[in-house]
Amino acid sequence: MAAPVVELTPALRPWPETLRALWHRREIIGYLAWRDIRARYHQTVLGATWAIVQPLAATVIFALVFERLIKVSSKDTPYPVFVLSGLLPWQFVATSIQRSSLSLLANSAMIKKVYFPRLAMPIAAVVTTLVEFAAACVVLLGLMLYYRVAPTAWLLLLPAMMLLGAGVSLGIGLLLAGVNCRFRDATHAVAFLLQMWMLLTPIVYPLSLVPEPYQLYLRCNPMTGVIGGFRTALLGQEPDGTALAASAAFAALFLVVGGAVFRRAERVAADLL
Amino acid sequence: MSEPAVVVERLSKRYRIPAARAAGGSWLSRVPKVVGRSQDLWALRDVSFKVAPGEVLGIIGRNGAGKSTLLKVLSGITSPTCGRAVIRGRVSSLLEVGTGFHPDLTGRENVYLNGALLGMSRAEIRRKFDAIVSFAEVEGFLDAPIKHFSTGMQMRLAFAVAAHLEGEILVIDEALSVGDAAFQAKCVEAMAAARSSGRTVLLVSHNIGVLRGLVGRAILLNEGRLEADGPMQEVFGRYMASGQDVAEIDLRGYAHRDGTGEARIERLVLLGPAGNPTNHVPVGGPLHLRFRVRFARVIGEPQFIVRIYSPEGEALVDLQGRHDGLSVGRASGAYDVDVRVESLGLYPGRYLLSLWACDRTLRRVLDCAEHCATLVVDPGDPTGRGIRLNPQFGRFFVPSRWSVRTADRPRPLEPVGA
Repeated sequence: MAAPVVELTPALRPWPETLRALWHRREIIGYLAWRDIRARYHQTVLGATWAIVQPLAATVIFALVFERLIKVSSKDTPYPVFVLSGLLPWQFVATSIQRSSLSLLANSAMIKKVYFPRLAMPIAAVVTTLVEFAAACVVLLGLMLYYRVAPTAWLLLLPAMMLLGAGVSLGIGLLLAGVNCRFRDATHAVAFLLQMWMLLTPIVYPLSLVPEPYQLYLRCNPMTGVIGGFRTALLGQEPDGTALAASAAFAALFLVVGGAVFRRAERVAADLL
Repeated sequence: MSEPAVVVERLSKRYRIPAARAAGGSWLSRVPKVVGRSQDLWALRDVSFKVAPGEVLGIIGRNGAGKSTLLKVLSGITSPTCGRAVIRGRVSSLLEVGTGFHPDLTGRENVYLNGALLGMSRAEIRRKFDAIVSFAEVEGFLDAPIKHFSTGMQMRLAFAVAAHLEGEILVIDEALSVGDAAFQAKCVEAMAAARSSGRTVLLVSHNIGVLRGLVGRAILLNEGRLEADGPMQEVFGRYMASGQDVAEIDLRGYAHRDGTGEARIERLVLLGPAGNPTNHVPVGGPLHLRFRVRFARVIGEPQFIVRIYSPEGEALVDLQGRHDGLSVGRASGAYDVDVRVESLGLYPGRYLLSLWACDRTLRRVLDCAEHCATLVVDPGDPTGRGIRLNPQFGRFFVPSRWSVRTADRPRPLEPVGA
């Protein structure tokens, strides 16, 4: 076997080469994700149960406030099932964005001392969150069982919907991780913007509650498609083509722009962090 | 096979240091920092060299000369600003021992994580796992979180992983010079094994003693430029010659230093017997040096060290304040420290001095001015017999008493009690 020849130059490495290198070292993604999960729940009494407790508690609170006090109607779906089926994908995307945007900062000690494909870090952040999301889905299944909500054939679309959510969060995460290398301001902006964004996404209220003229704006929100898609897959709601298309378009756009920003940042990350 | 393993062509690396912002400025005053106004620092400038397969190349130079930057570029950690490097073969680079070690993970888990980061596949680590563990001598602790390991155990485990890397090209920083003597010996052994297995090694070290045994050829970097490239001894001679050959040295702008910055060694004077500044001492003559240290904050019982290095970079003389019971108490502000050696027994030649200010445990270096002065030992007449000491045969003049008697014929016993 011929020895690999690597040329180190100031030029950006072409995308195919970058992705090939990532594929070659893909095991690192698993190791980083597994390290984060192990470290996060190490020395906790409840361990991974924490991933379940949080959405469960949130569901109870939202059900009390929105269903009992404000009387938000989720039509034929029981409200707790409705709200949890929105909260889980939202949490997956929001947490993924937060973690992946901080992934370079969090691993800066490693970045300065060893080379490995830098893309592995934001991707591992999304994978970590996906594992926690899968654990939390157990609660949703329990709730569906309790309220006798049966899944439909749409369930087959679940992987595609999760991929969509992962695409949106990785795209934004890459963009922010790149920006974070130079301007830490991004860290502060993210938490605040995510809160605003949550309110503008039909999570605790159905889209139909929004006055007709504004619905189109909300459907262009990339998260509307992700949340709606998840509800389609699990609860069998009619899919919203416009919202899904908007989500997919945004995911692609974010991945391209975020990827470009990230690639420029990763070359100097070791110098800036 | 005749193609070089590493080709470096006019490699340059620029760091942009943002201009310091005026203290207490409004947020508007930070904008220029973002937009521009930065200082350029060329950590590497037009560096070119080649390394043949199987060659062991030493990289020497003072702190800040660009050695670490060179290794970072060659490892792919950071990209060059201009120029290029071509590397033929799989690179295993080791700039730090235990990169990515997580205190909450077990020894076993950390071996896999660290190995993966250094470029090993899971199958490769599994295959070598037992060898790694026995090399590290940590059997029986593998499933405990490594935060319960002693530092020594962590170091051994980390080095064991690194010692089992398979790349054709090894890029190693002097990170390895930590640990106790036995551990260091193990590191050197492993590097010698890498050399004899025909691998290409690029090795940065301050410990020239280590380099001498392993390295045939060396390059010397100075302020980012390649200053010499050739046989180790020759290049090291150049390195030594670049020391400052003066008796009074202002160290405030001295770049080759280390430490936390909690103290600053500001100046050094070498004094002759009459109190005159001179950096020439005859063999067996007195050495008197005085340096000023300024502390940026209060430090309890700071320690001072002066070391004298041979032309080969070996530490020969280790003078420490505590050897003489020096106690400063709670130090703040500036101090002049005087060190007097009654009779310096070094053989004639040129030597380098390094100064340290450390905390009370010597573990934390507050400041270190490395190889900041040249000391010239002139041929004197320590024997009083007009004999020239030849540095080829020894390093230290140690006064000794000699006597002789014939062994051929037993001497008559002297009468007892006579």
